[in-house]
Amino acid sequence: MVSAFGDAWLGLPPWGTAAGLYLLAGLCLALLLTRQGHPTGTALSACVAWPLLLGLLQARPAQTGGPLAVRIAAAFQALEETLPAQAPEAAACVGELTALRASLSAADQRLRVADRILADPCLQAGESGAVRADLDTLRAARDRAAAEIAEVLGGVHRLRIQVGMLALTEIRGEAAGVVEHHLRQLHARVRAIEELSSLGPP
Amino acid sequence: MEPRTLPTLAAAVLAHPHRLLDDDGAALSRLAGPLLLLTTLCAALFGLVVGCYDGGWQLLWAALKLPAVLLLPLVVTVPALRALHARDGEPAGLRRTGLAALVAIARVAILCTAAAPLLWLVYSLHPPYALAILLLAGGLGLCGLPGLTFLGRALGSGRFAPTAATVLLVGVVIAQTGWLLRPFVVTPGAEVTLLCPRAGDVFSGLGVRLFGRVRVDDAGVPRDCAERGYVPRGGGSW
Repeated sequence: MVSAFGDAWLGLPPWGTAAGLYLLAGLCLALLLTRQGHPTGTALSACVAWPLLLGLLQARPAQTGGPLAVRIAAAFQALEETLPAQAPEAAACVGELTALRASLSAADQRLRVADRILADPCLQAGESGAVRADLDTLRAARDRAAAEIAEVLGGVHRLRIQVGMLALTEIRGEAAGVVEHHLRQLHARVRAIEELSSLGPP
Repeated sequence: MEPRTLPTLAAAVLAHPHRLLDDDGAALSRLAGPLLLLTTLCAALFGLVVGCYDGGWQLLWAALKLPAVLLLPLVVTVPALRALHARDGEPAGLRRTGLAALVAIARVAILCTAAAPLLWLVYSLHPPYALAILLLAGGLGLCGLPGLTFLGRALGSGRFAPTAATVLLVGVVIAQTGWLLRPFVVTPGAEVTLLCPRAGDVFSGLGVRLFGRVRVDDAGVPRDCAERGYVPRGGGSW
């Protein structure tokens, strides 16, 4: 078998080299975890099963956001940085932008509630066909809502691109109108998601 | 309530594993050590029973290798599991994947230990070599199914395709890892060694056992042992 480490390294067979590097990586993670104050058992476990414990290096996930919170934050942050620089005359739209972001975040929170219900082990284990059908309906509604939010986020990205294009063509006067028009359209889409949620299953 | 001892943790892993996967992400830090210890102990015990077929050094080798058969595949498949269970373009969380994998494999190890007395009984009746291999593979498959199904469901929120893919992927990797770390049941007449020479894969190996293509002479020695690189007991040639 051809090894990525060659036939021998420091006199070790290839599998020995790989095992040594694996244990070294585990030892590094164990040291990091010890410094972060994790239990000793966890640090020792990292020596042998470090790929399973890499998540401990990440900050604990924020519980306030839904599954798309990171994407929403990134999209709006990028737009909020672009607007003042490329279209200062559209600064008046910042209020609308904030409202749109709040609406999207609320829709994202509803996705989180749906995800928790779908992951509930009591419901997963339900034998009843009616419960299973309801779960399927909820899953479909959840996926529809997620797709709609993703579409709106795509709209936010497109708006940012348009602002950039307007800046290039130096038709500055129209920027405010374009931004306002786009934001109104996006608002309408978010309202449609809210209405769909309030209507319940078809 | 948080399990405080290994028996209560084992009970929680079997009865309501979903409750061990909390939302705040702190459970991985609390449970990683105990879950790994539980898995290692249970798998080593199962390995000890498997080693009983041959006795001697095989007791030790099998007890050492069985925990690796269960743990190595998870370590290898973590990135694939995260990608399989991605939602909305985001891969499954590292913490949740790690914890779900540890709980799942602990479940497999506990079930293997529960099945160990039955295997011990059968092995004490000295079944033929091929049957002993098939019993081991079948037992691991049966005990592995509940744990791997849990893993798929915990990461995939009940979606069928990712759950099935998880069971298939991790199951195949466990099987191949077992093949690479064999022998657990030593070929009759062969020297007991820690590892066999690498040859073929688990499917070809099981196919040979299932369809009886192992040619055995009057002394019960497989005729292709020399071709497969086995060393006869006490040295010399076949």
